Amino acid sequence: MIKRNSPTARAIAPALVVGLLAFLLTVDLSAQNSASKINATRRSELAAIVAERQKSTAALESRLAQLRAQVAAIAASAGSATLRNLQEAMAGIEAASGSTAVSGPGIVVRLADAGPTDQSTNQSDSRIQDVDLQEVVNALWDAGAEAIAINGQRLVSTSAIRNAGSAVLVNFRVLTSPYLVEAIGDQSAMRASFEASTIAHRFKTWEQVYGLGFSIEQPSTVQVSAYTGSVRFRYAQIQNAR
Amino acid sequence: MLVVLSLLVGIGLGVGLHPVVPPSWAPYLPMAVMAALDSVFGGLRARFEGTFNDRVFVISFLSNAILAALLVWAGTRLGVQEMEIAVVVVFGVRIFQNLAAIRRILFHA
Repeated sequence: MIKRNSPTARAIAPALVVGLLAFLLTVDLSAQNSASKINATRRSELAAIVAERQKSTAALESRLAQLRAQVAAIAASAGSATLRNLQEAMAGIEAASGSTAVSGPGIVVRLADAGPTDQSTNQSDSRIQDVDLQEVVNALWDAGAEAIAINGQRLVSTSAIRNAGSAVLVNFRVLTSPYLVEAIGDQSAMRASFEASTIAHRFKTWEQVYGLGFSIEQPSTVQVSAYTGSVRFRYAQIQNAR
Repeated sequence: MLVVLSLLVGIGLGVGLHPVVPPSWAPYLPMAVMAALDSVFGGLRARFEGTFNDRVFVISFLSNAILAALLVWAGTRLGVQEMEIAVVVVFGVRIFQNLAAIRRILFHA
């Protein structure tokens, strides 16, 4: 039994502590070493996996293109009337649902934030809000628009137009000023109806008061791009009414 | 003599056994090592100044190492992510001060 204050204890205890330090130091050093080694090997492994996946994606994409060409060829060669009817019906449904790009006569309503004017008292007064876009879109649907897109974001049955901070989100994509609301429909009727709407009158006032940009263009063909998001209904199911 | 021997044995054990540090301990070991280093330099300084006390040395070594690791652990639990920096700064400054004191004694400069 070594006494607490015996000379042996006084010599041994610090020595043990120093030994412990040496032990901890070497363990820590070797642990850090192996950690950095593991990181390096992991990175190269991940890089290899990414490269491999990219290659397989490219292969699958070319396979998809091949198969699509085959399907088109088979559909063209099969002269069946039912198939052709189905294809026509499908084209109509695709156009209506927004999953294909469409073009035709129409109007483009251009809305823009006011320039950085110092006199503007309220920030939100000088910016286009989600409500403004919603009302413009509503007025266009009311005027008989068949397809509408805002800055290339096609409006479909699940589309929402809303503010997120200082930006406007359409289909969860961030859009910024100027906003081009492209609508396909009967040009003159749609334009007349839209210009008579409340929102158009309001925008004409706001244009002068706040300096917001507002104009209506009437190009001969308006291109409305396809909805690119995913449409997967998990809860809504088709009711067999008939 | 005994100290040098113990130092060599410690290094030998660390290299020879090659113990695996559990991943959950990984952030705390370096903190404990920092604290331990501080205690050792503090002890060396005390030895040169003639105020060395083995009990103070042993207790400060163990308590510093455990407290530093515990502090970082508590920090991560409380959501203070950079608690390591507090430990590194405090013990870094103290190690430098101890080294400076040792240098002054050894070289009178």
